[in-house]
Amino acid sequence: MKKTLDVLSSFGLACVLLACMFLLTIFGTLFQVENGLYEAKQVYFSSWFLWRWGIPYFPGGLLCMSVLSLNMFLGGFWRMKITKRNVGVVVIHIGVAFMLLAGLIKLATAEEGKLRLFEGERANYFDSFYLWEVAIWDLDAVPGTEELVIPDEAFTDLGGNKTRVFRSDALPFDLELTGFLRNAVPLPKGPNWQASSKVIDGFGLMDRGGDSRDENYIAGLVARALIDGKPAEETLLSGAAFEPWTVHAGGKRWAVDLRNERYAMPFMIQLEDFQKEEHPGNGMAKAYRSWVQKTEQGDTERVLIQMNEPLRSDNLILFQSSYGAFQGRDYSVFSVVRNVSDKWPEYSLYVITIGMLITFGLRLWSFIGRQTQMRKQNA
Amino acid sequence: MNKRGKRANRSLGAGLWVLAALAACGELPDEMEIPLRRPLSSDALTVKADATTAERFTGPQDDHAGHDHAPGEHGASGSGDLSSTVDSIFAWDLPEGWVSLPSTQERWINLQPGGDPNAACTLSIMPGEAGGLVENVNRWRKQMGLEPQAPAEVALLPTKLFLGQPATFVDIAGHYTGMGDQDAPDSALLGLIQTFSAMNPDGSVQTFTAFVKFTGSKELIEAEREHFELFYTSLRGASDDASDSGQAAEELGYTLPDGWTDVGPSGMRIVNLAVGDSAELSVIRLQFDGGGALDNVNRWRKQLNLAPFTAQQVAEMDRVQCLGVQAYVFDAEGSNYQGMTGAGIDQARMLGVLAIGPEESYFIKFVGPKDVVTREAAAFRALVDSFEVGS
Repeated sequence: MKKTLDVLSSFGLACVLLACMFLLTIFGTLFQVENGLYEAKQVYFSSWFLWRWGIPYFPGGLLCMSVLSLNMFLGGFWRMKITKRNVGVVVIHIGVAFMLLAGLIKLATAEEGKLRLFEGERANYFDSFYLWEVAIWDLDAVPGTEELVIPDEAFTDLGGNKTRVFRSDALPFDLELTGFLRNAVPLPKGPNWQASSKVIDGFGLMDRGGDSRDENYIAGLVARALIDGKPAEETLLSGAAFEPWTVHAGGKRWAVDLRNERYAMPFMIQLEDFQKEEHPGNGMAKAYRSWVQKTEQGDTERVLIQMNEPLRSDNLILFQSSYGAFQGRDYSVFSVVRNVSDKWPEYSLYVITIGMLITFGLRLWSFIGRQTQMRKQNA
Repeated sequence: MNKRGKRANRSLGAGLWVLAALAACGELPDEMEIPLRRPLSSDALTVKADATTAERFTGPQDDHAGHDHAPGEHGASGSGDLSSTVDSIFAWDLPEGWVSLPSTQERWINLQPGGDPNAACTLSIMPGEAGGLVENVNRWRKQMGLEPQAPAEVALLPTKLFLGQPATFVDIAGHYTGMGDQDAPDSALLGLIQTFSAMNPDGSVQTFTAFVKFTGSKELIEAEREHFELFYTSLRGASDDASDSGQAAEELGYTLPDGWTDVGPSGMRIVNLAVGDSAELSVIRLQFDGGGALDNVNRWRKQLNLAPFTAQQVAEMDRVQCLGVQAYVFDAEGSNYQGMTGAGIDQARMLGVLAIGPEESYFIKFVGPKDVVTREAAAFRALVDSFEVGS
């Protein structure tokens, strides 16, 4: 047991782990060029191992950082005997371990996405960068009711002829999904091209290739409404659609939409005004900012979101990330992160700072004491 | 967080745990309960109910709707303002299957033909003569690994009607090295170069040079040649659209034959009909003569891998009264009719009507497998008879 703890708390292990993380960073960055940020995070940094031919061949970022946290913890509390002299170093270890814990919490619980708003538009949700969902709701419902959601992992394996039927007690029909394409555009079918999907109402899906996840990809699939187990209506669903598909069943109109996975926000954000300053002559943006109205439980406040000044509320952070215009209307794009450990790295830095002040303060105190002693002896 | 948000998160969390557990046990079942519920999104009740498939996928009938739901917009580049400025200057029709990308300083119009990321079709405008015609033709030739041409040779290059004036047309193939680190053998380039004058707000006249450049693999260029021609012939001033909006709003009326499907306008096709999955009819409206009868007849014949007609042969083609003019009647059979993704029809038949007028022209093309087109020939003639503007 002691031998195991010795290894786990050793400097040698820490060096090996840091070297592994260095290599993961290099190869993960190179991998990202071809495969995108999401895949790189999944393969290199959020994984326990890197795999090839079903065999783990290198520790993943998650394993390295977890063991490093343990190494730091054991190093600070078990291997190192806590004395008055090294209490600062122990505090620094606590701070670093706390920072790594914040990363683990973010990995396990955080939701990241984007929110695009035209001036005057408002939303109480944000969209995932990479994940998709099929949402179904009653078009004649009153605000405050619920929509049904089929998440990404429940249908993105339905390539080719593979089908899956989704049902709910709240729905008068079942929904069959099939022919999922990760990156496809809906186009009118003619003899000029072969559709990668069934052709429905003169439209087919043109597969644009790509197996990984990329924020530029547009998903598509075939959907059928089954009433009493028999196909009643069918259509193509596409992430590029302007409007949802309407299904008539049970005397009601139901909307069915394929869209980026959405995450609810506990408040409403309305873009009031988007402002941009340009460098003279070349039209490049010098600064851009968004005035938004944040409404929560009836209270509305006006908030400015700009570079390095995000909106923080309810564990959500809205960063000003981009902008654009369509048909003469400005829109603003915010990156949104829901992270309960958002401020923990900041707190851990305070702890590390205190630890360093204690360490260097004690060293300085000791140095001054020795100098005073020497002067006395020399005198 | 308010109660509704907490309840939604609990519901989402529970659903995801169920899915995670199912996934851990292996593949998901063929039938399953919809796992999640959440409060309606703020936009859920503002959507258009009962939208047709065409409305859902083509949206508002904008000339180049690719700007809206184009994939690039998911990670908006911040160049939207430039795109908006270009929109206010030019209007154009986005060919079917092409994707509109945000404008850049060099690429006023930035298109991805056939959705192929290795191909590009761009419009660039530079002040003055931008080095002159010969220099620019030879710059493109150099990019293709070709020897430069002498001024006398450049002067003999063909011209095409572009923005109402002749433009020098470049059609070359070679090993494209392009700009930067682009390197692609078996490439081709189609381009137009035109120097024109425009009046400034203060009344002074300024010269500009416009470059339309389409690069890609030889195979793609051939497949998309028709779309390229349709793109540059559709390019016009945005103010033309505004002033013509009353006229543009005039629909082309017709009687839909039995068994045919109206899939709605798309891109530059103002009428888009289908017979099953294999045959289609499209109507395209272009300004002035749209390139004329000879060029358009031979463009269609080339698509059918047939030898071009002479001017005399075109003049001898049958005529029919259509849309107020004596229109040319096109009827030909060919092999390996190629589309934009290379999928072809071995035995194809094309019926067409070219209604060429002094101010605008209509090109009606019905193409598909020979047996289908032959079977529907009478319906096609009845359809052509039923076309009328403004109904």
